[in-house]
Order: sequence, then structure tokens, then C-alpha cells
Amino acid sequence: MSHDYTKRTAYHEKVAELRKAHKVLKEWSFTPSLPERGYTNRTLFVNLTTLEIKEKPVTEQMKDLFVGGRGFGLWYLWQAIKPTTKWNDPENEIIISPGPLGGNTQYPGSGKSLVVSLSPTTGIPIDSNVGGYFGPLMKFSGFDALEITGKARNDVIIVIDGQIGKVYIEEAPQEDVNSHAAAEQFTHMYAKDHDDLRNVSVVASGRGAEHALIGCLNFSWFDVRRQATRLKQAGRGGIGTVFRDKKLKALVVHAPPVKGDMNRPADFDKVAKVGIKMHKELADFDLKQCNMRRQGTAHLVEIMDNYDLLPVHNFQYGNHPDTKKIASWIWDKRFTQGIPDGCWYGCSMQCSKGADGHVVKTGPYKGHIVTVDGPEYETAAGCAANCGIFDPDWLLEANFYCDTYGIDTISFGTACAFVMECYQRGILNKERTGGLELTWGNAEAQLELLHQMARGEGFGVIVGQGVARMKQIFIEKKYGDPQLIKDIGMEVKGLEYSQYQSKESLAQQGGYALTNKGPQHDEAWLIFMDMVNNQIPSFEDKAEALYYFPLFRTWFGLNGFCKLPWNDIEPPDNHKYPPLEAAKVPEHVQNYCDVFTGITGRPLTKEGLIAMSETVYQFQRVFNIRMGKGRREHDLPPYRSVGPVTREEYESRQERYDKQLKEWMGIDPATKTIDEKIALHRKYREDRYQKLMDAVYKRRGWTADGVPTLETLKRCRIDLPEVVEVVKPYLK
Amino acid sequence: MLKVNGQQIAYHDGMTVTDVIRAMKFNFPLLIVKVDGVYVPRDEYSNRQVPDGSEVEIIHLISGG
Repeated sequence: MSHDYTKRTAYHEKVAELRKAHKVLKEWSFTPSLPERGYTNRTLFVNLTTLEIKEKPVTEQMKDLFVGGRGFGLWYLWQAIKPTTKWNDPENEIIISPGPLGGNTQYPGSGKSLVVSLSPTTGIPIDSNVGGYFGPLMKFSGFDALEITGKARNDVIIVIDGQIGKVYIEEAPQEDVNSHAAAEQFTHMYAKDHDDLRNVSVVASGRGAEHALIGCLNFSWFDVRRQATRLKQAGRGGIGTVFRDKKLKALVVHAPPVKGDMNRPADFDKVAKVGIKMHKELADFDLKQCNMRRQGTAHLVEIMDNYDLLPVHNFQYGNHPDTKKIASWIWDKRFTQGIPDGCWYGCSMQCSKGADGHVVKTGPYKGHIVTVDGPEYETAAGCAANCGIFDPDWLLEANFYCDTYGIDTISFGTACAFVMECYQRGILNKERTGGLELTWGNAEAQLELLHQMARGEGFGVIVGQGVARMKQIFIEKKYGDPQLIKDIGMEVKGLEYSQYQSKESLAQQGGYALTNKGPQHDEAWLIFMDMVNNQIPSFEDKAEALYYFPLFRTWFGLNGFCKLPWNDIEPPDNHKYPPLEAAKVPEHVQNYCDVFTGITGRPLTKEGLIAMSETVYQFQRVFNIRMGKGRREHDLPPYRSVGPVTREEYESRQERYDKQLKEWMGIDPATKTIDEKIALHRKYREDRYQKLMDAVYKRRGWTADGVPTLETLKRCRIDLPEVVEVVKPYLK
Repeated sequence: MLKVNGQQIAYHDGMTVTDVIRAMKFNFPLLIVKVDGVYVPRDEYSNRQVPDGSEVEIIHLISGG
């Protein structure tokens, strides 16, 4: 199937008229500057309530302890809010920071922005990483971070013009709120001419985020080959909801044209040398390895199905005969091939795939021709397989509307799967869903949920509250067995699970539930090490993996890196390391140390990299405790992620589970009923998870209640009085 | 018989590394394969025959996310 990748519905033809309706509320001047060794040493602060705009210095202590990106976001948020602050209080902030290495064009995957806020769904800090150009362009305009507080009265935009040194807060009443149109309109509105389009990036959300707590942000970049404004998502934790609650319609940055040395690195040649090596590695081996350049992360769909890890029907099962209909070879054909797809300059991984020429089937954009950014694996697994919808066109439709309405595809997929299972089990029915038949595979009903979220009406608004609140609501309304509802609602700390089956990997159960922000795989993905390779058999082995990998991956978020070029491509001689070391991809870890040193001038070892991350990681754990949700009781997973909840689940893997009864528990399965066997598994698996928690807490330097000890805080150099004050009551 | 990742599987004459990977139903691309402790490069999987009684280690690395 071939689609004209330049053909799509235009939304920018009347931008001059739209702009006439703007009212400038505040104008502020600054001196544009480039970073020095990765830092501009200042943050742009904007208060939407008071219209105050100012710059704040980035201190040496901030750089030393918190590095940048997620670290800066957490530090600013810590100072801005109180333990009693709620997500929709004006003092809640949105902080965007690309990190000191962000925006370099030498090393693949260097364009990430990190966004931090107090999450509507979890009530604790959320961090979400995203591609697109906004963070780097903001840095090259003069700021390491953007800190937004307060609430506007009417829809506003913040414009950072790094070409002329101005920041504006403007009322913008007429542009679309939905991201695919808004990003295009603002990009064309603030570019001086056609060549300048690539120097504009927009952050927007959508109508769905106004009525749902699972709102996401879209970060744009102008794709010069497609002549299209494309989008990447800061999906997790509802930051889009905070954005719209502040009445932000968009953030716009207009920066000087990007050049290769704009971070003004300490040693450009060092960075370039490592980058060239990685470009060659990607060119030589990607096709033989993950094929990211043609399929993006969607290459994982049939792999996860094959290993029984693809979530199907709300994580009940791990595979499905129809997976082939949404597998990588479908996307290989459906994605436009042969044009570069990097979401930042210089990224030779090129995995930001796009499906051009999608004709929208439903809703307000019915009949429009759009480019859908994705689907990525998580979207395919969540919105399709997990909901029993094995149709690529409907998946594109859901992907498009999630993005443009500002809804996180991962949370939506998991929430939709949850209500579909509730419907299957009679917890929900047509009367309770307002007439929607939420049967497995009902794509039109899934889309209607999204449209209802955007309109702020119907059962879609309930689904948009996320799984944790739906569980409360359904239990309060006595819709069904409370224990069953708790067991099958896939969330921890209020965040919906991302899309991997963890039932057969104890390490991954911890990889999800022992996270700071909630069950997102970007801390640790240990399933193959644990379940397939059996490399980490003991609790201590698993605890070591749950120490190292979350810390290693935290580092990407401090510095502005994408995780994918770390281990979705492997050096050909990676086998020379012992298997546990090979999983870390030591050569690439050294690359990161070299890029850090090359840009910042600060020497960094592999051990130093982990120590750098640990400071921020431990700080975030304390931050969670400060907000009332960072102890042992908050690290418990729903049983669906640990073992079989229902008879159907048990029977689908009966041979495996019966064998485990015999081998793990010394029980003859023939003497037990299915219900008895489920109960035996539950006791065994829940006990085992508790032992894992003990081992992980010990390795991380936490008490048995999950609280970082004073020794740990000292070791990580965050024994600051205000930090110690938070943990002290729990250390007595 | 072959022992693959600790599991016994049936052997047939001329069995190659590719055949072993297929027999195990592994479709993940980032593998490290060792036959009796000796590393087998990826581009030799289809030609390299595995002797009967060998111990094969197929380590899955990590990707995705």
C-alpha cells in the first residue's frame, strides 16, 4: 500500500486571521545566548496568574546534584509545592528541561525533553520524556529549563522567541486546542518564512485532556520532507491535564537555526568521534537487529506475542492468534519508508515512524487526511491487543485521536482494557456505560470513549479518570466483587501499567511496582534476563538488577537522551562480555560517559554515572514520601500483574501453572481444584513478591518500609535539612 | 538430544543454530548464542551445525521501551 506522504488536510491557511485575535498580556525581553558546555545557566520562569516572567540562575549546586532534565524538574517542583498541594492547585508547576547533553546533533537520540509536574492520577511527581524539538530549541534560545506556575484566566500561549530575545504571554482564543491542528497553526504563525518552519516547535495538548486525568503533551517538530508538523508525546501521568487546567493552549519556541556545535562542548571532537561510531553501527547492523529504521518499536509486537508477553484482554493473556494483523510487517508496509524519521537532528536511529494518508473515520475530523505519528509498540499493544482490537486502521484511528485530543495512549489502552474486562464480567453493562457495548474488539466503542472524553460527556469521562479512580467508583457503586475489581485494575500508585505481561517474571513485577512514578517500563525491563535467560535467579540477583537498571535509565532523563540507541542496537562484539554485563551494553555505556565528558568537560566513569542518577532517584523517592505515597504499602502491585486471577487465566496456562505447583510448592495439582490451585499460587507469589521487596529495599539503602535511610541520603549527598526532615518521622 | 538454556530438546542430523532457535520458538533478534561455550556470530547461524549432545546457551539481550 503506498500513500502520498505530502498529502494531508491543511490547518494553517488562516493563521494571519487567527493571530489578529491574539492579545498580548505580557512582553519580556532577554538576551539570547547559547549554552556553554551544555548549560545556559538560567531558567525561564513564567507565572500565568500574575503574568510575571523572569529568569532564574541555574546554580552550581543544581548542576552538581540534579544535573538537568528530570533532576531540575524535581528540584524546582520540590521548592514550588507543599505536601498538601493538589495537581490542580495554581502552585503546581510544569517544568520542561532537555538536560546538558540534550540538543547535541552528534550522538543519536539526543533530543529529549523531560517534563515534570505533580500528577493528577498519582498525586506524586511524574516525569515524562519526549522527543520533538522544543527542549533543544529552548536551550539554544537561552534557557536550560522552563518553569511554569499559576493559572491563566483564558486560553493563553507562551512564546519564547530566541531569535529576537522576547517572551510573550498572549491570549489566543481562536486556534484549535487539539494538537495536530494547533501545532501546525502555531508553527506557521511564528515562522518568518518557509525555511524558518524548522526553527519553531510547539507544545500542545487537546480537548480530551480537559476532561480526563490521563492527558498528555505533544511536542512538535517540522518534518521538512513531509512538509508536515509532526508530534511526539510526553504521555505518562496526566501532564496534559495540568497543562489545560492552567489554560495553556500552547508553548511556542522560535529559535535560531540549529548547528552542530550549539552546546559549545568542551571537546567537540570527542563527542563527534563517538557519534560517528554509533552512526556507523546503526547503518551496519540495524537491519539485521531490530529494524528500528523501518518499523520503530512496533517491531516488538509479534516478538512479545511469541514470548507470551503481549498484553491481551486486559493482561489476562500473553498472545493472540490475530496478532499477525498488527505485527511489524504490517507497519513496515504502512509506514512511509525511505525518508528520514528522526525526532531530533542527527538521530540516525530514525525510528519516529509515521503512517501517512490516514483518512479519519470518526469524530470531528472525519474525512480529513492525516499523518499518524506511530503506532509505537506501546500504543499497538495497549489500544489494540489489550482491547482485543486487531485492526491496523482502527489502531491508527485510536492513535491519531489519542494524540490530538492529548490523551496518553498507554493509560488509555490500559483503562479501556480494564472497562472491557469489567463489561465481560458483568461489573459493567450497557446501562452503566451509557449504552456503549464495551465488548472485546469493539473499536467503534473504543473511539466513542475518546470522543466522549473530548466532549466532556458520557462514560468516556469516567474512563478518563484512570484505572485507580474507576476502581474506587465501581466499588463504591457496588458494581461487583471489590477484590476482583482491585485485582484486575492494572495500576500502581495511580498510574496505569505499560504494555508488558509481568506474571511470569518476578523481577519485572518489581520492575513495574517498585518504580518511583508508577508502572512504566522506562525504569527497568528485566523479563528476558529473568524469565527466558534465568540470569538473575536469587532475590539478591533480582535486587541488583532492580538497583542498576533503574539508575542507569534515570541518567538518560537527566541528560536529554533517548533510551533506544542504548540497547535497541548492539555492537557486534557485545558477546565478548559475560551475559549479565552484555545486557548493560558496556561499549554504549562508555559512549555516554564520553559524550558527557566531551560536552560538559566533567570526567565521568560508569560508576560515577550510576552515582549521579542515584542522587536524583533517592530524592524522588523522598519526594514521594513527602506527598504521602512513597512507602512499602504503595509498592504493591495488583494481583493480575503477579499471577492468574481468574479460572480462564489459569486454564490458559494450566500446564505451566500445574508444573509450578509441583516444582515450587511440592503440591500434586491432581489433588486440587482450579480455585484451590489459584489460591495456592496467589499465596506463594505474593509471599515471593514480599521477599523481593525486602531484597530490593536493602540494596537501595531503604528501611523495610521503603524509606531511604540517613546513610543513604548522606551517601547520595542529599542529606539537606528539608530532605532529612521528610524521612525522619519514619526512621524512628 | 541438545541442552538449550538448561532444557532438553530433540536433535536431528545436520541441525544448525538457526534450527535450534526455531525449535525453541525464539524470534527475538538480539541474541548471543554459544555452543559448548563457543560464541557463534549471527551471520553463521544458518550454516553452523550443532553436534548432538551439545550444550547451547541462547542469551536474550534487552530492547524496546
